[in-house]
Amino acid sequence: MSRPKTKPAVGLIDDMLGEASWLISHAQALGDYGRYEEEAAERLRAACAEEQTASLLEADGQDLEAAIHRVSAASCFEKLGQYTRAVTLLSAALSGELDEDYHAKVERQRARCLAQVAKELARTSKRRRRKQPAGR
Amino acid sequence: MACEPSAIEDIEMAHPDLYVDHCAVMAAAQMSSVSASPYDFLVECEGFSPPELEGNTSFVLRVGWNAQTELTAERVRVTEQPKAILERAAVGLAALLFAHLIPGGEMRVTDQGQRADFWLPRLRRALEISGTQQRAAVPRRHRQKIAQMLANPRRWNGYVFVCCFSAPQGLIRWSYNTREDYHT
Repeated sequence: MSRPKTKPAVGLIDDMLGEASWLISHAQALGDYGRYEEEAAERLRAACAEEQTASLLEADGQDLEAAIHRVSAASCFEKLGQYTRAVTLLSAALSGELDEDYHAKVERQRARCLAQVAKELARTSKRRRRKQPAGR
Repeated sequence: MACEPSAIEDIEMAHPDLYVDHCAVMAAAQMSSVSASPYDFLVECEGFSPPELEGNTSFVLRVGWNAQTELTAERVRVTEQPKAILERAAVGLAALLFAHLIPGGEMRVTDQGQRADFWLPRLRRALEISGTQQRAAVPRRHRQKIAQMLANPRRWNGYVFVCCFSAPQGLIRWSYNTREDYHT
């Protein structure tokens, strides 16, 4: 007897979606209570769960859902100050077909994160120049 | 029409994909600032009627909280930001009503930037929730939230839930809105 093709994937994806939701809501609760270090740790877990879920959704042919969860993961990374990861995810999300309004919103988010990456780069270059011994 | 009294703590088991314990506490904090337990809301539904209500579109919801929650709520009222309490309190009330009155109404949260606070994946609907303390602000807030909810990236129809915590009775405006109706 042949096994149903989509069921296990759907179950796994649904579990992952549920887990990501729980982690995001828990991170928000920790933030509400001012427990910022724990919030950051939970948000990182949420971001990873969202990123994995997005890959599963893409593999299952659910491109729009994959994009939405990439944006959610990117928002988590942005809040954590991990702008390069956020930019990568937002670029991936923008490669699919999004509603015009949403596309513009994601573009703005990507531009904002990219500006932060540029700032980080400038800071790092400055530090490196200071560390270099004179005459080199 | 009056609905069976509900305990705000019920939400903790009703939404397996959400951490809502703090929303129950914040709802108790918000409600206890205007009333002793229980507190009544007039709930006005627009565009739908929960199946249990047999066609009625308005009812009184009586919400109670226990002594333990009251104690935690007192602490929260002193230490947390009023705005955060208000917003999470509204989420607590929405979680309670969706659990009790909407079959398949399990909620999931999305991170910021999705233009709807929550998703109802079994129903394929979006949900936008907002809290206020000013009754006069409800209609305008409700209209704003409809536009916001319908701009969700999944293009799903959905619910808007605006919860006003005012004395002596609260008000909940709870609507079901579709893109088709909104754009015509």
